[in-house]
Amino acid sequence: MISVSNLSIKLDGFSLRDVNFAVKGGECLTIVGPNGSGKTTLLECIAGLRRPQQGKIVIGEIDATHLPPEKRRIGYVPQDYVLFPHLNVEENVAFGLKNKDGLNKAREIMNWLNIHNLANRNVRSLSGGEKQKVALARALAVNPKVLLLDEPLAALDPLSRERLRKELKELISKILNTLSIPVIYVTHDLSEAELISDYLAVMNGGRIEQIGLKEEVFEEPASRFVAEFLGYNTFEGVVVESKEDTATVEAEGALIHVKAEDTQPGEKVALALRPQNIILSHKNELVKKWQHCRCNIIIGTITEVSKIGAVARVSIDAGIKLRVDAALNTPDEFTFKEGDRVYVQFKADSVKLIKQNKLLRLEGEQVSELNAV
Amino acid sequence: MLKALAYGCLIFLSLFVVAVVVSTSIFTNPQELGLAFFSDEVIFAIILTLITATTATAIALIIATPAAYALSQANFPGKSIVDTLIDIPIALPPVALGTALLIFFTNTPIGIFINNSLIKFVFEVPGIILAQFSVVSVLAVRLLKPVFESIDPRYVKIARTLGESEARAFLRVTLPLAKGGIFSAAVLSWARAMGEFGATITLAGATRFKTETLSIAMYLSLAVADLEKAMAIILILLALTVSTLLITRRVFTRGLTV
Repeated sequence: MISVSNLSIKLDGFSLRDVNFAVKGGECLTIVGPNGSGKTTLLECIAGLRRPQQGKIVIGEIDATHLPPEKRRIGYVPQDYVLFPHLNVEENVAFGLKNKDGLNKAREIMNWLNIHNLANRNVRSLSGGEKQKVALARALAVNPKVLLLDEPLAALDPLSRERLRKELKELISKILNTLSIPVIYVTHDLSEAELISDYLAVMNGGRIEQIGLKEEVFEEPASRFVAEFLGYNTFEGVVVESKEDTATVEAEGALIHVKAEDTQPGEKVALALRPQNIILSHKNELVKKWQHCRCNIIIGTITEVSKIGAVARVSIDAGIKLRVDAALNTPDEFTFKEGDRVYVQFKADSVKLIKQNKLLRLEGEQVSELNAV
Repeated sequence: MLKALAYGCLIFLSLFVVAVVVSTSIFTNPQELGLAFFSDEVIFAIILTLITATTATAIALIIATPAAYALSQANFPGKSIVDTLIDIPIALPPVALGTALLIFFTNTPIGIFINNSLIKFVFEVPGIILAQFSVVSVLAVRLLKPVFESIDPRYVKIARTLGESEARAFLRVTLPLAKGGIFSAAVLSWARAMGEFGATITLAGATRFKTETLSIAMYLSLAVADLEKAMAIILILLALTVSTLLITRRVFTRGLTV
């Protein structure tokens, strides 16, 4: 188990503020966020490579806040793997093993990760995937109490990344099941975040904006930033009418019905809508299956259409700016083009309403939930 | 036009160096050169220079290596001042450096105490080593700093997460990665120490068979118009310079790399 509480550090032009989370043994937390959001700094604080000005880091039962890196028993796989170029693969893996059985332990780990055939290879001659496994073996050889992975796929070309993503997922599952240590995985790639772990934290500007079960974070973004980062259309608005479980929000000139309780007219809110939850039509009529739903229909103009694989991405100006992802069964079916006036339809319950005070409430709940497990 | 001018300048410089070397060789009579080379005085000068230059270089590297590492990695208040201070002996003429050392050991209480009670530097062999050390230690720092700066600091960070202290991470990771650069710095510093003259003659003097390094032996030979001996010493220094440059070039191009 590793727990981080109220962790803060101030660096030149950047600070990490009040970071809280806990990950128990056998579980993996993925931390996502844009470049410069503090993900690597957070890992370096946990590894002891940076000294936080405030907060506490507990690894296992030990308060490691003030321990030097060599006393923390951290397995750290950095970006680009940073293998020692003056040592071969076996020597790299055995680097942290000081006793007589060090070499045997290194060979055991290499066998376990199926890289024993690389033992005498120069690390410069390895492929990206091989380097990744060697770095992982080196980190695991010291019998760590927590494993930190800093964007382990970022250094690979897109094809290798795609191929190794599933392999890495299997490796992490193997580590979690066999070694039962907590794993913290940092990435800025959402598809990795979706695949790798069960828990997800979203960082922005040096703080965790939201943390929780992956599905919860994806389904219930706690802030406009999180929603935007997860690919939602977002816009700010003001509640103009509130009836039972529905609110009407005016956002940049458009009136949008939202399924939401406990809202007050005049309240400032943010709205989030997934691109795949929007339907476009040339006619002003609802999709049959939506006849009994509370729905939104607004008129807009298509400003851009781009087809990526089996998806057409359409940008629309409807007062609010919207991005729509439409599945393409056959490309000929898709008749929308730039400049078309279209009816934009989406259900009231597919719009997420984010209250300004929701962020703090959710973060607190998730931390206590994680601490409890 | 510009290309022709550049090639012209290159040819001029190359011919200039060749002309100096060839004229030295032509002037020297091989028989007299052999006699001069095997004279007791030249053999003494060679041995003394080898011993003092090697000792001074070794001491300089022992101090310059961690100093250059600190200067390249650490951030501390006054770092730019320390960086500038280290450049002073490089910018200062060696004679001025020797004079400063001579004044220190003959006119300051602490210098007089060291010279009279601990190690005698003035007009003695340790003075040669100190003079050479003063010149080459800062040169070694200057040569080693970019070597350490070129090493990714993350290697040390990873070594520390694998259980090594800062000092052991330096020994197990930084030092092996820097060995090519350290070797080159050692060779160039040694070559500089071998040819050191200004600071040496000022602090250690020019006494035959006592503080007579190769440079001083050449100076003494010229003073009594013994040109054969002077030329023999020039050729010895030339051979050392050429072999040093060849070794360092080989290291830099092929790399005594990891």
